[in-house]
Amino acid sequence: MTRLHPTPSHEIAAADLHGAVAELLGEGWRLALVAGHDDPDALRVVQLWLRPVGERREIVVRVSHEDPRLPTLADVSFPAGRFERELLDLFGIHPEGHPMPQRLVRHAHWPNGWHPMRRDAAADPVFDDDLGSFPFLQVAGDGVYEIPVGPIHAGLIEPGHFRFSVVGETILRMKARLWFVHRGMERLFQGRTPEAAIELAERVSGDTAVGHTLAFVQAVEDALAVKVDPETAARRALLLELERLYNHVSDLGAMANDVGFGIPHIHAQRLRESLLRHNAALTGHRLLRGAIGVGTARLQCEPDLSLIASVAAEVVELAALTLGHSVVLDRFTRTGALPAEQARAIGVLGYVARASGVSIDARADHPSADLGPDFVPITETSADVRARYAVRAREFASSALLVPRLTRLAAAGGLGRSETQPGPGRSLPEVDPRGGEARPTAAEPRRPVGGPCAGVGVVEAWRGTLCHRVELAEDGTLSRVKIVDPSFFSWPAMPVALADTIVPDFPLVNKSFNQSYAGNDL
Amino acid sequence: MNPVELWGLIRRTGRIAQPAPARTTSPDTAGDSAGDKAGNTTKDPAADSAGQDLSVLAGSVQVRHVDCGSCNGCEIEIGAAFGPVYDAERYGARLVASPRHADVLVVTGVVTRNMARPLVRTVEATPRPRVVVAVGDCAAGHSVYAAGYAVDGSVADHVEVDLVVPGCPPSPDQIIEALRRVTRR
Repeated sequence: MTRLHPTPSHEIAAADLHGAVAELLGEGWRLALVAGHDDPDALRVVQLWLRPVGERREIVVRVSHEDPRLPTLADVSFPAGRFERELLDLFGIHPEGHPMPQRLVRHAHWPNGWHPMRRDAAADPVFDDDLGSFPFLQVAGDGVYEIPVGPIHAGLIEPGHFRFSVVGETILRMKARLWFVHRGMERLFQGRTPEAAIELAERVSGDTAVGHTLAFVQAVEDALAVKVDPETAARRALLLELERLYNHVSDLGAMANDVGFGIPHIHAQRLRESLLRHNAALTGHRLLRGAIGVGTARLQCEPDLSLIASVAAEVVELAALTLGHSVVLDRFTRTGALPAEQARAIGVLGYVARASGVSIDARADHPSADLGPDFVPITETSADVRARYAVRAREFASSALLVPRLTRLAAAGGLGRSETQPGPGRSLPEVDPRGGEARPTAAEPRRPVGGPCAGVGVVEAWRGTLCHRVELAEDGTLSRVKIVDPSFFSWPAMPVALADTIVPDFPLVNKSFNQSYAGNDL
Repeated sequence: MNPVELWGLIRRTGRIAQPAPARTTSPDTAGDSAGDKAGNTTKDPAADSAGQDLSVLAGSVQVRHVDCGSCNGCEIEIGAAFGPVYDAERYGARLVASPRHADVLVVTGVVTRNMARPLVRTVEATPRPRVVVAVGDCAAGHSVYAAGYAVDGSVADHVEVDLVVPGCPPSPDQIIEALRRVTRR
């Protein structure tokens, strides 16, 4: 495959994979994404590695269709071991020597040998129960009992199954089974033009419409060598901060509510509603959909800076009331602790990592907009619910300060509207693509200059670093899209944080993580 | 915490709930209005799928939410509908923790292969008379995920649906309106 994008790519033999990965890990690289591909001649695995500031590297390995095996990397990288289980389920590539090669995506009733991302996967195989193939580990001993919860939970949340092994009130072990809302997102992108796939990117995880759409269009722009002007980049960064604001505020209230302090919760919901209405005025959609396209970012009006400032002031007040309450502070402190060492080993991202003292933030590590000299990732060190609360309260303030700055930067380019009305048809960008291909029309997608190409997008969405990697076919349609929501990395840390926590604190710890099910399950 | 500050916040803010909009369909016209352009049910449900009289639910219903394959966008707006600004509870709709406590199931999302059985079992666990409200375009059968290999039809392919609220996601006002059709308040 011809590669035009600037990410250096190294193809290596399967036998050399383990050594190469160990070396990258030693040099401070982070495994951000692993994508399988079913090429006509072989199965191809692409690993995307990231290192601050702005460094990217890809490793490519091929295995035959007849003998699809790769040596496991689970012994050197926990996230790699999870990606391997995903590859086994979706592509049938076996990780040799994996310590726990159980199913991840495919539940017990999914047919053996059916790998839905393979080209030759049957369209409608027979699904049948085989619960024995997907067992839970039993914890035995005096007084140990199990509490199964879900997939449908008591609250207004997404589905997942949690199994607690408990003695008295204390959780000995918790196992989360996810992928209940696996819809097959990645395959749905295939065959669409990038413009026609925006509606999918906006719906990977509804609360992260900007994050996923931005990573997706950045990946497409990377593949097609489309340059984005600084004003457009600023408008996108502005939308990303607005998404962070409306999500952070409601969780700050919900965490207080989970320890019985309901008043901040009510006020946080009131503030969220004013932000959602502001979103609608700005983009035409309460969840900020419809604003970002390939090469573009459009706003329907200027942001209301006084509204953002007044909401930020109220959030400061709510956070002070919450953390100033001795009962709340008692419940938050030392609850659900995730030590930095564990956070690093598991590969946790976003505010969960930063609350454990791990400073990882793509806005600083892989910047795509100028956030100014004052921007620094916010970290705490106590690693408990209180730390996660504090990181998010401080990030709210920091984002609210970025809004006027980004509004100023974006103002130079107006609102980014073309003459035509933005809408589902989305008029195509009037950018100046390098390489001289003709300006695309809605009917005819932008064609890659030198044949098929690939690109990656890296964005600090509100939950953490989010990556998309796309490949475009010769006719400009998407041949493969790999999506990695930060939740994929952070979910496995919750059971670790829950060890020795009491069952009644589970909702609180879960809310302090607040990982996406839809984004994880895809 | 300083209780004076807390009281200050409450007093300064005043009433959060917005004024209640008028009901769009009166209980007397139930059954008269036809489905809308998209074929969605807009009439007030008079009886559930087993023909049981739903008027016994008027006044107050307990609501259970089931996500069987949503992007979580609908959950944001359902959360807003039950939040302090739209305040669904003043119309007699209250969220509960179990289908066994519920009169109304609010179902979101396309039906994934992994949620088809939990959905059916949740509906079966809900006592009659019960109302199933499909919230959002996915649940209404117009999902962007419909062609996914992990998707097993839409809500109406698995359970009887009594009310449909279209939208991606529907606004909290639309969700409230559907709940008010059931509570008739």
